[in-house]
Amino acid sequence: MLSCPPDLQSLARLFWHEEMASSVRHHVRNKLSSIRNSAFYLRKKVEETSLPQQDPRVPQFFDLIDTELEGCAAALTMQLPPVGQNAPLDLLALTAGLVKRLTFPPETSVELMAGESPPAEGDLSELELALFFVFEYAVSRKAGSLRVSAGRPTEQEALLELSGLLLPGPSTPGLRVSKRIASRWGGRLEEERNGSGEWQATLYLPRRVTPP
Amino acid sequence: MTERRVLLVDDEDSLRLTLAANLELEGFVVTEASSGAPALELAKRQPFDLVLTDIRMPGMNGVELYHQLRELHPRLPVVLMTGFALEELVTEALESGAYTVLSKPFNVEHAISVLKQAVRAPAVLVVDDQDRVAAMAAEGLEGFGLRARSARGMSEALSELKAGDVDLCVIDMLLGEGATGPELLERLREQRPGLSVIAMSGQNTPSLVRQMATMGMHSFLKKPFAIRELVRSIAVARRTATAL
Repeated sequence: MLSCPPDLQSLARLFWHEEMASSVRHHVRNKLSSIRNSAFYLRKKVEETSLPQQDPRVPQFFDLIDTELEGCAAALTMQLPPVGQNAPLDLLALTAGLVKRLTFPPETSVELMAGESPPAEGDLSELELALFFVFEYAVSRKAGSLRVSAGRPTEQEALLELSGLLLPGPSTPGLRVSKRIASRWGGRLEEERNGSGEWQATLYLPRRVTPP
Repeated sequence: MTERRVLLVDDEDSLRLTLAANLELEGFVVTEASSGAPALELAKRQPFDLVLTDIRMPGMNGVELYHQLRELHPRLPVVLMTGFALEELVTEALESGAYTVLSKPFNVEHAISVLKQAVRAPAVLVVDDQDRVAAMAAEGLEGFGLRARSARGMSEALSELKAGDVDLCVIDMLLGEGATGPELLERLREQRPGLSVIAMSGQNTPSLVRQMATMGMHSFLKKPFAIRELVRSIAVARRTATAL
């Protein structure tokens, strides 16, 4: 396993909490759905009887259940705000800085290929954390070697590709954190396997970002 | 009434049980599956008019299931459900031609209205004053598994709408011979009051965009745009549409 650099550990804890909160939110939304579905079914059945006329609180309470459930669901929507897009971003320089602070297992070699971008600006530690978890995933899947390259940036996007031969396996919470961070920064992290079974992760980010 | 056969896929037993009960109340014939693999087997063996599936499930996720279903039945409408507010799988589903994605816990009445519409596998009508542009956009949508037709200008659009299977129009702001998107929308809405609309334009038309917005346009796309963007806008618009 890779160890998280000390300067990223408190940030990693924050994102673990966010990841846990996301799981809880998902779980609660499922439960709220079952309750809402049940209330809808019961209301329909009760409407077939004279009960709503006999006691007006019956439809009123069904309305109340629905409104309260909506309120609960709305309370679950809080997210970390997205990041702005202003300063230029050099993913390769960022990765090189991170790689220097990581101790890879002896059987893993990391090859960095040169890019053509201006230096990174501002606090980009969230992105370093996102990259760290991608490296952690790759190392945990017993990669012999990893290649990291920064694609020639387009007008809109900066690209970073990590590839290597990895054992297939399920997604990890760390990888989900990476995807969450990529999304928060206005980008995305995509994974795929090519014909020869080689794994490739590509991080797409806006060409310009404003660190939080 | 024609039988509407729905394949409902969710790993949460209680959610599946309660949702199936409500769908049956509305006349759907529901077959349940607790994960992607058995759902796929069911879809190979028997016909369905609609698939309603959760996204996050152990094993095959809902988006993978959707892709495999599309290989089997390219025109089968698939509606996805999610308990996550933001996730990359939702974006992938929206951009790859799924009918729409519903966020849990959804309003059941509204969800049923969306499903009733989805089961009809409605078509998108693309209207532009340039034949080629409208036809290319419609072809692009077909490539994503959506049903789509094209119309050149106002009169063709009005006659296409009479066919009755269109639930959403993608309208250019400037339609030639002085006709505009808002004018067409007004005429279309006389025939079909709840019609969903996405506007597009290659020119700077802020006053027309504002006018369309007040008429309930769902979104606006600036040309040139990727078909994937249009596919996504359609799926998002269909999430909020009510049955026509």
